[in-house]
Amino acid sequence: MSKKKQSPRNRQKTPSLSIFELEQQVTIALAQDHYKEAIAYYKQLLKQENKTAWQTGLAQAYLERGRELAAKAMYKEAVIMWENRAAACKDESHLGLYMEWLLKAEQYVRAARLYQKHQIVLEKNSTEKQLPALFGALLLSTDNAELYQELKKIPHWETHIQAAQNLLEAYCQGSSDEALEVYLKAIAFRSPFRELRTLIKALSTLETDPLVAQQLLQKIPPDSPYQGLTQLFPRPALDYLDPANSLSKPLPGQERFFTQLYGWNTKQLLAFQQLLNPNKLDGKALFELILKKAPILGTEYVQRLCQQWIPHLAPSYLKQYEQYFPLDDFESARIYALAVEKEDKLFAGDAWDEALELLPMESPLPQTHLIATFIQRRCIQLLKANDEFELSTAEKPLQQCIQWSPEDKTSYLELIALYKQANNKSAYYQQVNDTLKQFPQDVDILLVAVEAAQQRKAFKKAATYAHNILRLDPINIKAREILIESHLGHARKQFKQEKYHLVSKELEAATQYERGKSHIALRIQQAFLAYQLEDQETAHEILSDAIENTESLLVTYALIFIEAEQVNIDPSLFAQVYKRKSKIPPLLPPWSKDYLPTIDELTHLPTLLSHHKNSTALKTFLIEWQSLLKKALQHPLEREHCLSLCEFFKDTHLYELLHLYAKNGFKKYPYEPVFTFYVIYGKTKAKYSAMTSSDHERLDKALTIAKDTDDHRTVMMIIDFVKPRPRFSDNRDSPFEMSGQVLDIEELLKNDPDKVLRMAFDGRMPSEEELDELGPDGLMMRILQKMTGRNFDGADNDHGSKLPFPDFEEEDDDGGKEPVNKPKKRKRRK
Amino acid sequence: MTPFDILDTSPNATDAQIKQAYLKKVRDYPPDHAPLQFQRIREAYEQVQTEKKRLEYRLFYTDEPDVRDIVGHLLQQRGTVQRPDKAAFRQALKASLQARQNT
Repeated sequence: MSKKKQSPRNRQKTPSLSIFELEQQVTIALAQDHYKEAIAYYKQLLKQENKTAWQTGLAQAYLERGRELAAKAMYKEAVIMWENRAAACKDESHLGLYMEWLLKAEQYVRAARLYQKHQIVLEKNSTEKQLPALFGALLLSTDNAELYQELKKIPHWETHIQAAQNLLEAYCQGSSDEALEVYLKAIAFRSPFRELRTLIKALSTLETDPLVAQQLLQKIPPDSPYQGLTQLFPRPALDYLDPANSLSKPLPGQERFFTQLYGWNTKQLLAFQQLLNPNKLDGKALFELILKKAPILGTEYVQRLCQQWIPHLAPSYLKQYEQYFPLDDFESARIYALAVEKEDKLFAGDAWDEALELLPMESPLPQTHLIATFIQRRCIQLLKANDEFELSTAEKPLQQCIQWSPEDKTSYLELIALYKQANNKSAYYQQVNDTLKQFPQDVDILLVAVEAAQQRKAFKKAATYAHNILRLDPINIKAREILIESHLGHARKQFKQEKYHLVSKELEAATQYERGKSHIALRIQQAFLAYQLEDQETAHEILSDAIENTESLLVTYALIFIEAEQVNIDPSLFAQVYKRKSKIPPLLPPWSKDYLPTIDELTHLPTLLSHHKNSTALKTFLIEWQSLLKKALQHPLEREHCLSLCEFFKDTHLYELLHLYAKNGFKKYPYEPVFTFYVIYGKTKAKYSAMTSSDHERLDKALTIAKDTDDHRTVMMIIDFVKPRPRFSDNRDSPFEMSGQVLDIEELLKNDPDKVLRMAFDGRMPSEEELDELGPDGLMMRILQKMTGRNFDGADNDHGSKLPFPDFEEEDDDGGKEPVNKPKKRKRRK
Repeated sequence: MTPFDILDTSPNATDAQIKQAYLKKVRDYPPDHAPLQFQRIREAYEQVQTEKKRLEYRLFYTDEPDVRDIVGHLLQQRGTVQRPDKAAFRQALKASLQARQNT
């Protein structure tokens, strides 16, 4: 059975409770925040004896009950609690709270009376810090005569009120700025209407300069009673970017004021309110609303907005749009192509081609050819995105772009990049020359020309181009670097021939292109020269300075080795590590035992030393510092950094380090085929024959994953690795070479199926029946036979399987450590 | 907001007019005082600074608009400011004071 809770009123009717019991009940009620009950018990206690402690307790219970009611927005009831407390307990403390509740209960006259009576106390203790300004604003907003009577009793307020009312009257009646100025000046600095003055000033300025009006509004404090009105002022578009600035939205009752400030009509206000509908509009409803409101939002704006939006929506929206704004065929095709691009980049090229066909090329509009060029280049970008940027696909379109818009240099740059990528050197150099003739004063083109000249080892020409660049762009870092490198190159040559005075000249010439003392290689060469001229002190000073200012100690030390190698200097003269081998004291500071390369030093290593991958000195250095680099593995490396370090160690043939770093990456990313490849490559020291059967299996899986995930780079690395076969010395095709061919065929089939099929069927297209009969394996075999001129069906196939792809299912008994020379079983390719 | 809204200029403006608008905006929103706005101004300028870029923008730019941006655009479509009448002022002040009391 449940016990029925006794209400305090019922309990009051039971006079049997002793003082002790009542006190107990009070304690329980207070502990449970039941202030209403506590008040009732206190009252009973006080009936029995007028104890001060109970009086204080009752006062506190009243106050807490008031707070409780105010928290529920029952301000009138809260006011009564405070007043009961004052009457019953003669306690008038917490006047600030009382004032707050009175104001919230909208009992402004009583609040004003209280304020007038306790002005000083309230201004000190009230939570409302702007009480005078608030009463002033309340009076202006209500025009309440009773409130006015109360407020004017406060010294000076009558004058303040009069001045404020005059100002408002003058502004609203349209007084001129000069006339208004008189009324503005009449508002005293200490007036409770001081912020009204700023507001009216801002309102009048808004008519001529909205930005200045905004600046004036900044002077109104955030807790000012006029702050709400400042929020409605028009703002510059950029202010809405700041999340702190909410969109001006009028409250009910503010609409007229708002529309007057914006000079809007009711239709504009309606559109505004519909857009800010609290029930968020979905895409379709918003699209429709925007189209309908085009006359209000601006036709051009709506057209642009919708055209940019449609590619993200369904095609049906284009039809809906065209009901409002018909499009010509080209525009329609353009928007459609953008939509296809969003959907699938693979098919977007065709969509753009269709748009291009609809472009009236004979149009006299000067932009037409440029539009065609841009669209063609868009297609080139798509080719890049789809990994199809090749001579066969991109050369002609780019040449066409140059014909259409010969003044548009981007097409030239793209074509140069294409020839470079295709390693078509003659076309590359020719295109660079042609482009340079067309744009002889263009920094971008000159930079490309420098690169081409450097590739041709035409260093003088490269330096001339770099000089030209600096004439056009004196702070061009790349040109400066080229010139420094050019002088350094000469200095190194002279160094080897021991023509030190010429070395000095070259280094001096290089210095003029240096910004600050930032070029480490130049510093090192200067130190070498000083050392060679037996000025050890200067040499030491230069090197120490370079080391102190370097971002990467590791790279600086490596560069010292590399530079020394290039001028035939024994690095043992400089490095501490060789101290024991040399009697000459080292020039470099000692290498601390506790030194651990920072994560930045480690990750910068591949970037900063990428030009020196083939340097023997770099390899020597890295081998010497191998233990340090192993220690540095304790740093948490991000995927990209780990990959670039693996690549760096692969290129520098540091297999032990590669194996370690790759294993580290593999632990974190076991599903990424690239790490599997690096682990195997490092472990086998790049020897195909050292692979175990499990390595073969792993690599095979990695290859499949890499292909499935379009990781073309890893696919290429694996194929490159498995291609050389020391075992197959009889020049017969290896299984892996065959697998490479299978991959090529797959690529060809994907890109140009018709071409491959015609090749396999002696120039004709096979029928469906023929293809069905052959099946996928048979088709692949036929293509292979045609490509290699060999028969894989029986006698000519060493491995007795239809498809030449290796499969190593069983691990060797010794855990797969034994290199496998012979594939055991062929895998059937999907 | 479109780059033209941000720069407060017409889509048909010339390169010089756009540069002028950009410089004015940078003066109004210097990077040290308004980094967010400055960044958007810079981006907008880079998007439409030359005729070619404006053409590329017109041909290829796509975006899913934010209602806030559309409202922001609407708020810039202003007519001639009218002085509020006394009743409108009183009503607006009363509404904002009531909202203030309720927070």
